[in-house]
Amino acid sequence: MGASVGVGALVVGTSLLLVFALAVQTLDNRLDTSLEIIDDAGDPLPSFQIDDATLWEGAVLSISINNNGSGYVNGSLVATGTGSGFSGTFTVDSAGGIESVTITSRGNYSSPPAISVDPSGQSGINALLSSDIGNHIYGNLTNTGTVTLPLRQGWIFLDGATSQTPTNLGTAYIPAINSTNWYPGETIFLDWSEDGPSSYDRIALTAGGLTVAHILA
Amino acid sequence: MADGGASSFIFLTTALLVSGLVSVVLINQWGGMAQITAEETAALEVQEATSVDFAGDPMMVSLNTTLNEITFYVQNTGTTLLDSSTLVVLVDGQTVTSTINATLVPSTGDWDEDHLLQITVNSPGWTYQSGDDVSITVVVSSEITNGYRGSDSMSLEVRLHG
Repeated sequence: MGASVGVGALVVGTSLLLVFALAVQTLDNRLDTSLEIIDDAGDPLPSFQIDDATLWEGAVLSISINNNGSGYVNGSLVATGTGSGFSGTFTVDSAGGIESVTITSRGNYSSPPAISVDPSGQSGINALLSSDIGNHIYGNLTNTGTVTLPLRQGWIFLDGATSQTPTNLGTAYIPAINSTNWYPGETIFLDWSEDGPSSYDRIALTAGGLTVAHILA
Repeated sequence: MADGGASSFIFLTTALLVSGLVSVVLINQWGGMAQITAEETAALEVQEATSVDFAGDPMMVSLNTTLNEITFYVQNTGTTLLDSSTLVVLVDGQTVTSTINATLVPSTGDWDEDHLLQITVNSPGWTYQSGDDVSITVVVSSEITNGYRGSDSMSLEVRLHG
């Protein structure tokens, strides 16, 4: 008799414990979800601004080496045309032919300027270079918030992308260091050759649901 | 005495059976509740992970007056994939019933937070001109995640440019 009562109490007690455990687990899951949602809601929103933005419609975007020439030493390039501001350098191969060119300042021209070797200190001959001009955008963008933004999640719109699809910020801005994020307080310098079909008036940047826009000077 | 013992034994056995049955019922009920709660939790998590926002310059939204087309972009700002085939678009409160052309930018991959969606809508009845302000509303659904779809919407007043 006593044993039967003990067994009965054990069955009932174990059952109640199981029910209690299930109830606690259910409430725990519910609480976890609620906390996650509250946590998500408390996440700070991104904040950034375009400090300045300038469009040069006749920037020298590239230089082609049509003839390497010979007898040159490493030197600099000059541009002749309607406009100003170009500067560049070149290096030569073992025969003194122009091997590579580097644009250090793109300038702004109304038509592709003639590119030639700065003759001072040079005795080479026959180098033939040509240039291509187009849109180049300079700008400073500052992350003014507390959220670190992956560059790949930012998108640049020129004139609302009415004439050209948006460009990913990670494509337009290549950091000098191996970083893919835009950190709070960081100002990135946009130096972007956008050889689009036309001129633009406005630039907008969208990331994380926030959009800022700026007139292109 | 013997009768009393038998009665007690029957009473005890009955009590054990009843309590056992009640326990089984309670366990089943709580199990069901736990399952429902887990399902609700999963659905809620997908819902919370679904988010969309306008992308681009709201002052310059592309308008093609020849084709009566409006083109704009939206960005996945959540953490789950969105389904570009279940879009609902409203322009000035009217549901766009014609074909909605949705194109991923860049074109490869899924609609995650690294992609924009270019949406082009048109209606022969529109008489919008460049400079008009219109209200754009987009309702999106997530891809099915853990058996559930989340949904979100964005609504914004924009200026047409074309």
